[in-house]
Amino acid sequence: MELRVEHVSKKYADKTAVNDVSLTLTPGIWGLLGANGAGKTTLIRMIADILKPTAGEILYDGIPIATLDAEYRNLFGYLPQEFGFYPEFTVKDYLEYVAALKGLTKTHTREKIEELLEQMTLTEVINKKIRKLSGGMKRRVGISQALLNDPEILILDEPTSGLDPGERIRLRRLLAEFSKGRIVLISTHIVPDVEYIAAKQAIMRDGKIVLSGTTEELVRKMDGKVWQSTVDNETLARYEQGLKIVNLKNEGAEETQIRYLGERAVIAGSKEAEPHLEDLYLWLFGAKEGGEE
Amino acid sequence: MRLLGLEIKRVLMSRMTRIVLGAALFFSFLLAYIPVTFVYCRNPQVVIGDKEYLTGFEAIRAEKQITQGISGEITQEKIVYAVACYQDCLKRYGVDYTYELSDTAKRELDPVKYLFHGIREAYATEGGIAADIMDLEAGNLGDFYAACRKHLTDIMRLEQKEHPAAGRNAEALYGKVDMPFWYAYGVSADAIEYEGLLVLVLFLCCTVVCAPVFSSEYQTGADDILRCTKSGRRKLAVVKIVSALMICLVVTVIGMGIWILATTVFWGQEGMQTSVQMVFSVISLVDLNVGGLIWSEALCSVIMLLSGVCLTLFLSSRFSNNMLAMATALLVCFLPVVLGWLIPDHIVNLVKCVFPAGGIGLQNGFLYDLLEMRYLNIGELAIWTPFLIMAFAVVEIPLWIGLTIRSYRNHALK
Repeated sequence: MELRVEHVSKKYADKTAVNDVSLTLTPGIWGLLGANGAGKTTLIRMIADILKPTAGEILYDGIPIATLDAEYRNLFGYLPQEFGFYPEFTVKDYLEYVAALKGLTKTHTREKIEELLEQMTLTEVINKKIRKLSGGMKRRVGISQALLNDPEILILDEPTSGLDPGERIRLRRLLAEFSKGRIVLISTHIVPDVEYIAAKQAIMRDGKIVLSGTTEELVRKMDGKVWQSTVDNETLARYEQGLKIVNLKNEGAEETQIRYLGERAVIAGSKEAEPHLEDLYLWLFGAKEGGEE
Repeated sequence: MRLLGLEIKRVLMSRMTRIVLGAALFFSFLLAYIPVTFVYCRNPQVVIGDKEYLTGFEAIRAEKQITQGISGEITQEKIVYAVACYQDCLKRYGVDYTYELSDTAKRELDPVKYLFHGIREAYATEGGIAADIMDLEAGNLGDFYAACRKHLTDIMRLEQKEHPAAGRNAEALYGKVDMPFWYAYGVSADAIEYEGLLVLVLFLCCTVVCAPVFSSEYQTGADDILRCTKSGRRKLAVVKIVSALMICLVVTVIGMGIWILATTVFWGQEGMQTSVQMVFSVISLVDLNVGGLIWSEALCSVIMLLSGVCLTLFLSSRFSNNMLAMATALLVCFLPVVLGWLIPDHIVNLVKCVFPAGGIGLQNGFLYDLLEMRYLNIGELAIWTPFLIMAFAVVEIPLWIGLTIRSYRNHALK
């Protein structure tokens, strides 16, 4: 099973949102990282077949998804970044509605809704109107609808936004279990959400995939570029202007421990630190650009 | 079917839908009641302390009693009798016009007053000017129905001078009208006109309910999830269209049903048998009684309304903004009404026919097309506008449905 994105571009009158992207998604969890406006959502909408590429094509097991049409959508689960609910519908009504659209039988629908609501800890709000739910609950309802048909391809755009830490961990666990033998693509700007559960990552910038590979491969690219040092607070301001500082930690009243990125150690006495995916992200996008997310 | 049920549930659960549909049903009753309040007649048996004039339901009851003498077939004898009564009354009181008569004198004419309009029209001059009943010879009137036919010929010659085919067509239609006419006091012309107003209100409500069907999904982003599902394209579009049409159909049928039932209860069943020609013009081309006219208008209105709803759904599928979709739908659907205020009747009466709901309007509604001699003349071909309106309404239903499905399927793909 593979989903191949072949030289896909999406051009609008005034900009190119996605520029000649090629990517082969195989079973497992994929992270799609990138700053705002990098083209992640446009790419995802094309993979979801709700946006036609200007050039290139997307193939599922060698067949264009436009040809597969309903057959492709039957294998598909999608959670958009921003989406609307029917405010007067209860959680149950909404999930039944989407289940009917996904072609689930009545009995299967009932069982699947019960199962998902339990996994998402939404059982207590099953008969509550969606407009009365919190942001996090709405997000979980959104994730539930994407999972209703046990999709072979699951695309989640910013799935953790609005979720509290406990819910994020639960979701990671659920996805890790769910992803066996399936393609799961998570688009996010929250690097830790995909760092530990996604086996592979693709990083987008200005409409292009600038890096892709396994998480380990990508993290290894930062070997020798992440440094740690302790500086006194008087000189800190100077370093802040000249260095890509990714973390600060107060060490007593007069000193601060900093973690910074650089081709070489700039501050005397700096020690090489173990790199993380977030370091690579900030290395590529810059602390400011990355921080905008 | 399950999806259709859930879609209907979804639409009906919207607060706005429920308010609008509730208002539609309320107006159905209100618009049946209002014309009753317009009824006004002299009290036939006024004694000291009694009201001089009666209104509302009292007036309807009194009118039924007063006009009992002319109820039934409108024979030549009744026509002659009415002319004689008129002339005798005016002569006795020494006046030239009825408005100069006192209420007591007018009370003498009340039993036959509903025949005067038809008599004036039937015996009009060749130039179409209504006859003065005082100028007619009661003993030598000539056959009333022959006079009606001649009047139609005169009118067609005057109004469709360049189009003899229209005249022939009108005479052929009029030849099918059941004669002699039949009369019993009942539903007034005002009340029948209010049926047209009700259709307009129902159409407005249906437009408001249907305009967001697709556009609100686009606007809120709910559509992104739906169109990624197995049945989220063509099937969903069909389901949404069918559910919108079903809701509008049910509301319209219930609304019209309430109106017809209430109107029948308020005015009585017997008046429903009255020939249309006795309530409106004696040369109306429709071979219907009042009840038939009401039902025909209701049926044709349902078709026009559904056609208009199909156009609204198409517009909804084109716009990503709810308010814009609604504003455009209201503007386009009510364009025939607006055009009726802006451009001359003889032009708008033809232009409006191409609109799916071209017969829904105020002064230029379908009722007037049924009652007047409006023709589209193309060479030797003369088409009576009610046929034209219905033809466009029927043809446009599948047209707009097809375009809506296509539009929804392709939405956002570019």
